[in-house]
Amino acid sequence: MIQIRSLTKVFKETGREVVALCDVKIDIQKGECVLIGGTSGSGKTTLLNVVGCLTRPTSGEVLIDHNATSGLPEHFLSDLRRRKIGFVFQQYHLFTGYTAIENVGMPLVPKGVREAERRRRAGYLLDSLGLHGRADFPVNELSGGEQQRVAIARALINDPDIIIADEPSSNIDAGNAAKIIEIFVELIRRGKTFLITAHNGLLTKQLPVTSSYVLENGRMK
Amino acid sequence: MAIFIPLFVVMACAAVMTFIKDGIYKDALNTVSTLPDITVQQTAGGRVSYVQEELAKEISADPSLRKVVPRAWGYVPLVVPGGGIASYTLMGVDVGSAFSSQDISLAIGSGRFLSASDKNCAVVGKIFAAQNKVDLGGTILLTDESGNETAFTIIGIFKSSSQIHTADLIVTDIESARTFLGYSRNESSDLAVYLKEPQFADQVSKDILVSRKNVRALTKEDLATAIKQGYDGKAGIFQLAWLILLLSVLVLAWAQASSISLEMKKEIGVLKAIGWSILDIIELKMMEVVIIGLGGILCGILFGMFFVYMGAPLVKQYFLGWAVVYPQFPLPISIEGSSIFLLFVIGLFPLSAATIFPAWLTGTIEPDSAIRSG
Repeated sequence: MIQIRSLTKVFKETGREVVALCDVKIDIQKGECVLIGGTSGSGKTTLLNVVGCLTRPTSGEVLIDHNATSGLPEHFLSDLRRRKIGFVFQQYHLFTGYTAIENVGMPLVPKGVREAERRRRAGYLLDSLGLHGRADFPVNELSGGEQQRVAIARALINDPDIIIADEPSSNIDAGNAAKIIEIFVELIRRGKTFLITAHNGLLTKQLPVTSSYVLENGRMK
Repeated sequence: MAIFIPLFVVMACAAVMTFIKDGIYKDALNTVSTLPDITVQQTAGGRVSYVQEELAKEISADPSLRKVVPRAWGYVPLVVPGGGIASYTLMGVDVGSAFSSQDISLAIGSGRFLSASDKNCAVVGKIFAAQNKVDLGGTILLTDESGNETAFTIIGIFKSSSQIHTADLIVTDIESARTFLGYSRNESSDLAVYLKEPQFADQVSKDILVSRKNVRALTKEDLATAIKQGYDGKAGIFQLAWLILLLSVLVLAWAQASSISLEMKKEIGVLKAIGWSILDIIELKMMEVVIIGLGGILCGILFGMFFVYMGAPLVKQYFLGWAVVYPQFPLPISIEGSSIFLLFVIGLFPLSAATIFPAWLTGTIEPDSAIRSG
């Protein structure tokens, strides 16, 4: 499903080059749950961003369903992200000033889905993630764990094949982390492909991880 | 959303400015319509002097003229109710030369215009009558420069759309005006010349000047230009205020653009990450700015309308200009569709550009960079 071939990403910061990823190679099959480990600054988030088409590689290639993504024009990438990929950010990146249900329905707006239908689908997802009764709360009034579940619901609203989650349990307490793991386990059971980063052992122990990799200074260990 | 209140304030000021400017300009145009085709003045040593009866007779001989009406003008100080002295214009017209109120485009609202037999009778503006508390049949007591008082009976009140023109105007017969103003029997201030074919006013005025010395002939167009420039510019107040307001809109637009670059970058990056395209983002930003912009502009314009209908307190005197010697009258206002459209364009266009362009610019960078820089 996802082939990562000799991936290198170099950032240019204030005149000097920082190698974030160097010659990373991973193959991920449909329905697999792949865990990327490593210390902070090892390149985990950059790898997810490149695979999720949020940034282009300096060299190498990411293939999704055998299609190379790095050369695609921006509007194709937008379409690909909308159809295929659901992103769960470490910092949630929800839209403050909007309610939970509005946040979850946001990816449906460009598809022209009417508001009533957006509310119906988003409401269903929020209910299934245990956020019944929180749908119309502004997201900034929700706890960290609830916000993370809203972010997961938003990632799932387009029913993507691939879920990319960057440190999904790092900013929440153990109880909420357990709930999120439970949700992920269910999604993996339903055949979703997962690419997750984590630097603690909780996820590693409780998720049905099919393969795991560790990055160190942008290289695979 | 933070843009709403400053936009409302700026647009309210712009609306007040525009409605007052339009009102004064419209009033100036009404004044222009009261002018004769040509105004002939006598000069002596380059200064305006009294017109002698011979000149009127001489000019009247021209077959292209419809009529030549001698007029005697002067200014009369009058104590205004509430204190202070205002300067009113006394205009004496030669009613015997078939002059009528239509010649100065002023319709009579009540009573009648002067007839040849009327002596010391006057037709005044509606505002004059109201302010001096006189009605038809009533009298006003005017004091000349020697301190002698003359009573004028009100026989008509103008129904004029021109407040500025009639607010200070007292029209009487020329003989009464001459006596009051101290003119001799054959003298007048100027000649109002009406043509059979007004489109040839330029040529006729040249003919008048060619054949005579010490004469000045001003066409309606000449005077209209002077009046329009005076009212339109209003000593530069309008231009200055417009410039300030335009700059305010541009500053708001700049602030809007800056806030987008700082706050909205992350939002745009996240939107792209969840599958929005640049066009989707621009559409969203366009809708946001249109809703907030239209709301701010509309509220500003509505407030402006309310403010001018309340008489534009605090700013009225600035726009009336010479009110220290002028009678009090309501500020003329005019609310034109074209002006409202212009206000919307001025308010919305820079704001839209300042929102859409940075949004598009941010939309072109990678979502990852946008999220990290936000």
